[in-house]
Amino acid sequence: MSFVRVIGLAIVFAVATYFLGWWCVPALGAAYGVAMRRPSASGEAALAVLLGWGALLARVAMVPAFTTLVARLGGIFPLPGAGVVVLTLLFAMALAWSSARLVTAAVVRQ
Amino acid sequence: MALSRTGTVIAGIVLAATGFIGARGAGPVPSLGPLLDPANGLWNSVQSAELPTDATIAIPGLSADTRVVYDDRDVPHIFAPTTTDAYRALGYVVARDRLFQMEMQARAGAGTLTEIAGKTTLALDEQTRDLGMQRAAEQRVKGFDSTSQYGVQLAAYTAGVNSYIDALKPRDYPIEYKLLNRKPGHWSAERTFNLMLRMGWTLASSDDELTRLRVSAVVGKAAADALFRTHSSIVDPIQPNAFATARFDSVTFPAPGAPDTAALAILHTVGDRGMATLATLTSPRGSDAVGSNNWAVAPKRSASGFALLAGDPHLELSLPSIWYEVHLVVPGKLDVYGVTIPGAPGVVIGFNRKVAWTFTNVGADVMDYYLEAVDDSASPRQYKLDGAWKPIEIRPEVYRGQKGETIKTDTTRFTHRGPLVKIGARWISVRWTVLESSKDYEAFNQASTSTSARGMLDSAAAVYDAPAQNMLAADNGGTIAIRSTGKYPIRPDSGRGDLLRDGSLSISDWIGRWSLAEYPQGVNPERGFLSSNNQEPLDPRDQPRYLGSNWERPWRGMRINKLLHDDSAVTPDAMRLYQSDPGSARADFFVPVFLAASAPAAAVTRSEKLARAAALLAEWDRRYTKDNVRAVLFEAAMQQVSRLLWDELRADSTSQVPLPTDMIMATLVSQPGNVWWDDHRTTAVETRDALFASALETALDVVIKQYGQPTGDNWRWDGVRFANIYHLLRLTPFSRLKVPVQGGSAALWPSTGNGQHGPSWRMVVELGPTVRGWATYPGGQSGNPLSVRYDNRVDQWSRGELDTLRVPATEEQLSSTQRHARLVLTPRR
Repeated sequence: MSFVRVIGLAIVFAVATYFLGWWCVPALGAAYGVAMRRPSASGEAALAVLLGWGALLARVAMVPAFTTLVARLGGIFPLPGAGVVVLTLLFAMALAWSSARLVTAAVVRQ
Repeated sequence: MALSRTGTVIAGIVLAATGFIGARGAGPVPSLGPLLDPANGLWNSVQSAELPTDATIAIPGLSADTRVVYDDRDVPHIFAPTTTDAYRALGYVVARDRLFQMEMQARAGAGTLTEIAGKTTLALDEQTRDLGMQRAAEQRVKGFDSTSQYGVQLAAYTAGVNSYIDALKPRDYPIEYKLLNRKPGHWSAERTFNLMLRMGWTLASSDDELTRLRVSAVVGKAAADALFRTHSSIVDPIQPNAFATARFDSVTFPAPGAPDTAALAILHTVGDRGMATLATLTSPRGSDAVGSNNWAVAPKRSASGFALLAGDPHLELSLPSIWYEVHLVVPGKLDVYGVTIPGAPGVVIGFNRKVAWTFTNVGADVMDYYLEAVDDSASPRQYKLDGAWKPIEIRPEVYRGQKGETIKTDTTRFTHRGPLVKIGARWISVRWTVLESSKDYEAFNQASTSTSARGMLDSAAAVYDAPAQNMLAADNGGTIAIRSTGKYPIRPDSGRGDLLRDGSLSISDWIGRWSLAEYPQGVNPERGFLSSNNQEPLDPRDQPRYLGSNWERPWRGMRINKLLHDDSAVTPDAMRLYQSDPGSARADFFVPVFLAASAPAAAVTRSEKLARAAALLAEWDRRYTKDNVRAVLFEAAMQQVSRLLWDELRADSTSQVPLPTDMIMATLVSQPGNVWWDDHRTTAVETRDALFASALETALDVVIKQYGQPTGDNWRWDGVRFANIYHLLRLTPFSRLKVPVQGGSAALWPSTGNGQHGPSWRMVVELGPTVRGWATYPGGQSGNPLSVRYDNRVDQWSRGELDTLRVPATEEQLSSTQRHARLVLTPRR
């Protein structure tokens, strides 16, 4: 696993999400799987999106209202507020990992 | 490294599941993709929690730069070159802070809440459409003169709102839209009318006919007339009369009689479900917390020698608040400060440099029911009028869900009177002034530029019909004036509107409206003050004509009138203190009755419990302060009196027969042997004193059971009554619950059981050479639950404090420390 490549992919995840939205995550995960054509691609994609979305979350966490949001989300979701942060990251990782994994399986089989 | 088939299968399942839930959601789980997106979803909502301190934005339609300065109370002061620009900017800044609220309120008035909140709101939407409120809004749009001054202002306001919406990126949508996975809809004049009509429903719908029907069916017509009177038995009217204090009129209370057979027959055909349907058409009554207070003091009774005015409308409490505070300045043309309803252009309650004004609800009966004869009870197309069949206007209704899908189709019907509603086996049509043409917001806009109290009331009366309001004004010339303004129907024969009328006859229809000269009103009264608290506005000895029935209890009016009568040098701070005065005319009346009844009863029965209860009640200072530990016993005792006194009405536990108010109870107190005091379930004959003693004794048990022994803080009032201010979606984390308040039933700060109603905007204005104002409301300027401006006034409101208002004539008059943020709106070419 290339650390630089993962960082680069994380940046791509973050930028694409910012401009295009969440659905870029499975699309980019799949694209990464096609490009890498090796089993480790799915894990790298999951790690990259963790870093990319983590960076986006860190950006909003700088705003004082973030603490308020986390506290109040705990009463809306059946999770503690911090749990929603974890859910967000797990959601992205699941999308990136599974899409990369499926596509890698397909291209490696060919 | 090989890829296992199992891993691939799991990946497929995970992708399908997360992709589906991400895009579509599942059950109660919303679409997680757009929601959790850290750049565009709910996380990004923190970015828009606070306003930028300095922003310049180009919007179309402005004639020149318009500057908005937010002061340190977050109030936008809009300095515009023209009135049209001012209203355009107003639309923009209100949408900037309250967009979701605007849409929710408008949808509530249109019956389209299901489109944003789903099926759970279908019943609410059905009520709204059954009442013809969306139809009325459409008719107002059709009949609206868009070239009039107000038409131009409304168009500018609408364009201002839409300028904000059009520039919004999804990542900047208010958080509620993200939680619901919806996007804001465009604003329109129709939406403004929707929310105005909704306000009319809140304030001016009534079901006096139902009340009388239910009571007549239990104890007969004569008793029903005495218990639910067309005139108050304790008279302290809004239009000052010849009496210095409240007058207790003598009332003959007929004994409970045989059930009225005609009422029984109607109830039988309508059925309980039908009655329940009819009851849902009106806003809930029976709580004075929906009422309001206002009063004005003439210069001769103020410490400063200037007129003073206090406004204190009580409404349903919500977050964000129903009100938004603004200041509009157009040099030489407009300089008005006050509160606006988000979505409606204009300051509703406020002041300019010369005049201050405020409202309370009249509570007049402006909604009548008619039993109709129709050609087909299942699906009527015609109704009978004077022996001839008349066509029914049929209007198809489609209720749509969040994704635009049809969730129900229905039909609403209308006669010449108004909406036709099926209740049980009968069809009832409704005539209601709120649905008819009213230029209510024109009145508010004219108030903004009025130069005298009389002028303000006259211009309002010329255009304002509904919901009827006790309009109170004071000016810097020293005049104080009040008028109960609205369209009051004149009915045929008895003139009463609390009786179900025969819809098959045109002679049942309204035959006119009260003339302006007949409206309840007063100007510069000798006593030096005016007040209104939703009580019957006229002394029936001065004007006996029917205006309504089952009027609001007089206690708040009696209390404020006493406070004002006793204070010959009123200050603005005294006005503020009166707004949260913990005293109670109701307690002053009833506590001595309890104590007088209990002492001899305790001696006779040797009841230690009663003696203890009386001793505890005697300790009460009759004030609903937060730390009071005896008010709870009085309230429990009053409930017990009601339960015991009205046993005849509660005999049939399956039907919900309304109970008379404690104004009737107080009137009965002067008749200690009246048969109504007797508990008909016992063989003995109970008297007034026996009932009060029994009620107090039982109340002690009830309170101890619920709150424990009367020691320490067990009975603290703020542990019993408090305000519950819910978010519009009733999301608890976005709500402020159990907020302590200093008030109680019938106090000037009324507090009801569920705590969801109360003072919504408190304002005191001194009309000197330089106008000065103080105010607050239970909320904050921002509609964003993540903002520090969302609920930052709640604690101040809870303490009964007011802020000093900043009323700069120019931007420069605000010091740098008073400026919180600035927005420059520039014309977009």
